[in-house]
Amino acid sequence: MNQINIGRLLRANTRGCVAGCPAGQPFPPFGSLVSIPLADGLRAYGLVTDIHIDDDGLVRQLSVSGNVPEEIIQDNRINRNVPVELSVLFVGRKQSGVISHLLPPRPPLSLDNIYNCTEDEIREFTSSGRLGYFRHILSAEDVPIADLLAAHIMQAGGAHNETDNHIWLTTAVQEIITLLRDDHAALSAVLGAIADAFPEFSQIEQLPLSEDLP
Amino acid sequence: MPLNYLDLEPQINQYAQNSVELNREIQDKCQIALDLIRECGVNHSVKKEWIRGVVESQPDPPRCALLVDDRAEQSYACLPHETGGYTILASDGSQITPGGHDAVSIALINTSRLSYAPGSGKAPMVDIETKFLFDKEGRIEFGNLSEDLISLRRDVSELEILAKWQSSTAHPVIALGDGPLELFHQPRQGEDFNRFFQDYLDILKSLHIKKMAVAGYTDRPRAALIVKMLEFSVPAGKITDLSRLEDQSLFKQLLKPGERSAIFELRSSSSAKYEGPLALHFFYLNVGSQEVPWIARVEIPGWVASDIEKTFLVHQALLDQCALMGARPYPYILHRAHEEAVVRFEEKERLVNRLAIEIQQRGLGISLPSHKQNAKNLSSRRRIGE
Repeated sequence: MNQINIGRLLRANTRGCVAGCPAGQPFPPFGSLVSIPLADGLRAYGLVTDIHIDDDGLVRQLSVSGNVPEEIIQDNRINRNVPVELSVLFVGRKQSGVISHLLPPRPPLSLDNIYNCTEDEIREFTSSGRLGYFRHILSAEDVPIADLLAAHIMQAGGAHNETDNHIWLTTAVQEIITLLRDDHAALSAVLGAIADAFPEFSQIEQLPLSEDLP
Repeated sequence: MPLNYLDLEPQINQYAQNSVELNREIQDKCQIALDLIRECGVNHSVKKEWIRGVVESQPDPPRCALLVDDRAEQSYACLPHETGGYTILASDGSQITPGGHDAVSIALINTSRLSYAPGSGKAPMVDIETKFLFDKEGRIEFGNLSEDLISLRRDVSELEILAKWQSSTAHPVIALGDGPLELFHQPRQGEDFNRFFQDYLDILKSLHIKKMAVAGYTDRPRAALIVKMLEFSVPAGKITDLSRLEDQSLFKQLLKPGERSAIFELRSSSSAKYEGPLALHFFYLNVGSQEVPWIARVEIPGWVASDIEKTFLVHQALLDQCALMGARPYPYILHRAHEEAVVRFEEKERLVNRLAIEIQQRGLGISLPSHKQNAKNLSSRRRIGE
């Protein structure tokens, strides 16, 4: 699958960015891994943590007016400049072919292109190192961490399963347990979300931390 | 503080009190007007000739309505009718007027056109034309053009962009403009005004040739065209004062939701310029609800007024468009045309900066606003750290 340009950067800082996508075209789901090419061969990787669609006075008025014809819906999605905004949390970078789970050294610039990651890229990024990028997710603020982890693991686990790498999923869950072993409440929430996404892990919520995983 | 509220407080009380008194007066006059309009209906042929005679005998007749074929008090519902589909267009325009205090002088018109076929499922097409104003020699206008002349040229552009539309189907086409078809206070004196006014008339003729159903929509009309006509309708020697009564008050009583009034001819100081199929007509339309009637005035040229099918299409299309906006009915496509045409302050500022850079790069020095404008642009107070 080739990379698809999903939008352009609106604003950014060292921990994340917001990109605008035209409302009429598909955009990546919550938890997806995306990438942004930067200068000097650098590429930033991030996870979609929020998808935001603003309203305005006209949309509010139309929404309560009753039957809205398809032409009017299309007018508001295609013609009116109200983009879908994707919030992205940086989780790593690639430079000179080497993937690192450190934050990008500098944020992208306005109107830089943002791309969805192919399955190859997802496998490459998530199997580099020791899942160190999980720390960015767990320390993020104003983000539904449990659901984000579950969505990301679902995407990455699916990509690895395509190449019969079933170990990755187990390794990822073990790493989460390790990182959150001192925060039982957060760990329960995360494991609960993962159990919802992966029924084979439905028993892990009830297991003491020392039990073996399936 | 810009307003002296101590001065205003007693005036606010008087404002409210005078409003109540005026409302009472208007209600009384409205009853008189309703009786008169019903009399016009009962004696249509006689009243039609009588009113026309009275108006034409005036040395300087005021703007008013004239009866045509419909009885004055008649209302028309929009009955379900197989139209076979139609395309609707709307245009609007905005302008930048050269200001003596700006850094660079800009005379610019921005015109938009939206077009779509209801029921097609496809988004409207949006076309925007942005142009500086040029003089007769084809050079950009730098002079101090009057706001009236720029407004006239904008009105011509709004009609012109409608006329440029090319149909790809055999469906009838409805072309809407914001405001009256009759150009406000035109023609004026002066070669430029006459030239552009003639252009406007020529474009209207081209729309007639293209068989488009053209209409100008006025929301919350303040006119008293019918009221003036009713004042002229009374027998000789009798004077009826209906001053300060607006037509919309009358038609809120006469029109049910969705109904239009009779079609009237518009008589004004410029109506002789709109000849034959261009002759200006209008009707009132209730786009509101039972609880909240809302009257709009719709101006149509003679070729639409005399074509029952085109009149019906305009009626139906306006109701459909207003219904899209829910509790605040206004034609959706006209609002969108306005959105696409409007030049915002920030856009003007960007254009001014861009032109100033271009001029400077050509060795003409730095363009600055006047000191008066500069003082107006100074920022307001702010706190440390802001």
